[in-house]
Amino acid sequence: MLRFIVFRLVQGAGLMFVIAALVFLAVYLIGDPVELLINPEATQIDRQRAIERLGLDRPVWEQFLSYLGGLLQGDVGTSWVFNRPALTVMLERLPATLELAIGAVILSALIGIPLGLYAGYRPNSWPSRALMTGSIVGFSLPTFWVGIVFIVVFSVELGWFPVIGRGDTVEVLGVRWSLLTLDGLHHAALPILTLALSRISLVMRLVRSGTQEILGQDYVTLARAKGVPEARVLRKHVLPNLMIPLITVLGLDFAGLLAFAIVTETVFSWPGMGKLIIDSMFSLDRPMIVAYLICVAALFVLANLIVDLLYGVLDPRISLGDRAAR
Amino acid sequence: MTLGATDPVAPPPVVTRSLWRRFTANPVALAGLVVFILLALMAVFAPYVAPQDPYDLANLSLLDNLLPPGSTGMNGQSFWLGTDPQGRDMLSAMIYGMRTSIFIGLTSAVIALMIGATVGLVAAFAGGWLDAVLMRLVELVLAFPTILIALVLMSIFGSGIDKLLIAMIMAQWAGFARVTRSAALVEMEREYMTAARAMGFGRMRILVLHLFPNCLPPLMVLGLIQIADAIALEATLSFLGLGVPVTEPSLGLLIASGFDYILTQRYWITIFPGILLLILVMSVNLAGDHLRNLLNPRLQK
Repeated sequence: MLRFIVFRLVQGAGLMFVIAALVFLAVYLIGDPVELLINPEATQIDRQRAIERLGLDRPVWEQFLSYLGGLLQGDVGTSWVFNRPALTVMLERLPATLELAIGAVILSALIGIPLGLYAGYRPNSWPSRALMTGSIVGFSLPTFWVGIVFIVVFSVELGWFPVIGRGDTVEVLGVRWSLLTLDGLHHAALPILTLALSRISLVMRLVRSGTQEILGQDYVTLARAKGVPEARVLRKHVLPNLMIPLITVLGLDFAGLLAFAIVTETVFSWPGMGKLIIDSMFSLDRPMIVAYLICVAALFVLANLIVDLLYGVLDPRISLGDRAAR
Repeated sequence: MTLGATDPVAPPPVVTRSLWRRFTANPVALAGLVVFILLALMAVFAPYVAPQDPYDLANLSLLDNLLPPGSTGMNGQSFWLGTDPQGRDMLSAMIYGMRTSIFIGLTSAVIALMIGATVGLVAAFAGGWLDAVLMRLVELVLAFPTILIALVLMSIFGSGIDKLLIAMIMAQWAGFARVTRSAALVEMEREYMTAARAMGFGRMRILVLHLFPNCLPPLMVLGLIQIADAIALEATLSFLGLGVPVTEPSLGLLIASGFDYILTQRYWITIFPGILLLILVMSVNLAGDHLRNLLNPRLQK
């Protein structure tokens, strides 16, 4: 088990190194940051000083080597806007984004699984058909527009929820969380619901097709023949067998959720990584863009690892040791 | 030798009349297709359909700005859906914006499909190191969400419709490559491929006339759904300010400009373009969803 985790972490670190190198090439080779960063009214001397400070006067390969060297020490450069290590600035915003993403995953499971079970159990009833068409509405809705509509309806008209910000936070394990305070939850509810909406559709469709498939299996027929009540068939035979594909999709799509958090955070002025990356893109703060992409890659690797570990928990037939040895 | 019906080893036609008949038998899917075609026609003929040309400054009067739906303007024209902060007729601005959305969504998805299909076919057909290299590249691109790739590229490229198209194509091609490759790998084992090889056909001919047409079903499904995704992606990028330049019509930009006014109860600027965007994306998704059900062999009978 431990060997498996270490193996995967090393593999993940290698992958992230490759990604970081590619990100550098993409971000640093295209476009001219000098034009955007330096005040056009600055004197020639100020301009030269700024270029030297940012290391932009050196040849690209030299910049690349020093970048790779810094990367090995967990340093992707200093933010040109904040004048602090980019990775540190980015990581400070991580909890706010994780809150939204994890909240959205939980919410989509809580709503999507029961609806999907029903739609798969009675596929031809009219509520199931309505749910399936409704799910198409769910993933056709543009995330940013949903957020705006929620603000209009629930914040402006009904006044039930605050419009922007994170609300009160509480410090746990050295990190400030807003999901653990009532006011914070109140602030987070709409952003999480916005982010979760397309996931609810995804989970529902996945659970539905999985349920239909499993209900046709021999062990379900056997259970029914033994006289096991239908509710118990669904809970004990169908649901556990659904977990593996469900966890796979939700886990692998976690990066997608983070990407849509960019949109949600912009609409709700939620101070997370997504809001920060949009601001950094407008100011062409390249180290911040690199830091963001590396964070997303790391979360992608971590989510994959957690998914693999959960496989072992959910299905005793899967032995993690064997996979590592392969 | 002529192709088609007289070709002794011609693969079975995949896009047949019966598929069309089965597709149109579903009223919801048919409705989606009809709505999309109607909206596309409206977009193409926007100058004739729209009450005013909202991007011709001579037509605009700032005195008409922010009028609620159903108002009458200074010159007696009626604004059914109200006006935006620049005094544009919302309905006209939306039709012109939809024009951009459909153009960018369709073009980027179709070009991405062509690039992805080529990469996937070549990878499957060539095998070996070329396959390995191409597929590692595809996996790397797919590890990042499309919207993130497009955002980063746009932030580097700067704004412009041409740059937006390039960024969106670069974000979308990999999905097509993976689907084409896996379909092609299955098809390569079929007897008609062996027959085509035994007939001594050239590699290009086999690739283009035999392998490619049979990889079409999954590509068509993905292509249709990708058009919907691309339209939504363009709107999202434009909303964030990293898509269509502000001087061009765009549904995303309209929604963004209306976002500043929602706290003062001027909902129409942001709500109406959003509804149009939703109808547009949903009509494509409804058609795509049904096509997937039809072409999925596991769901048949």
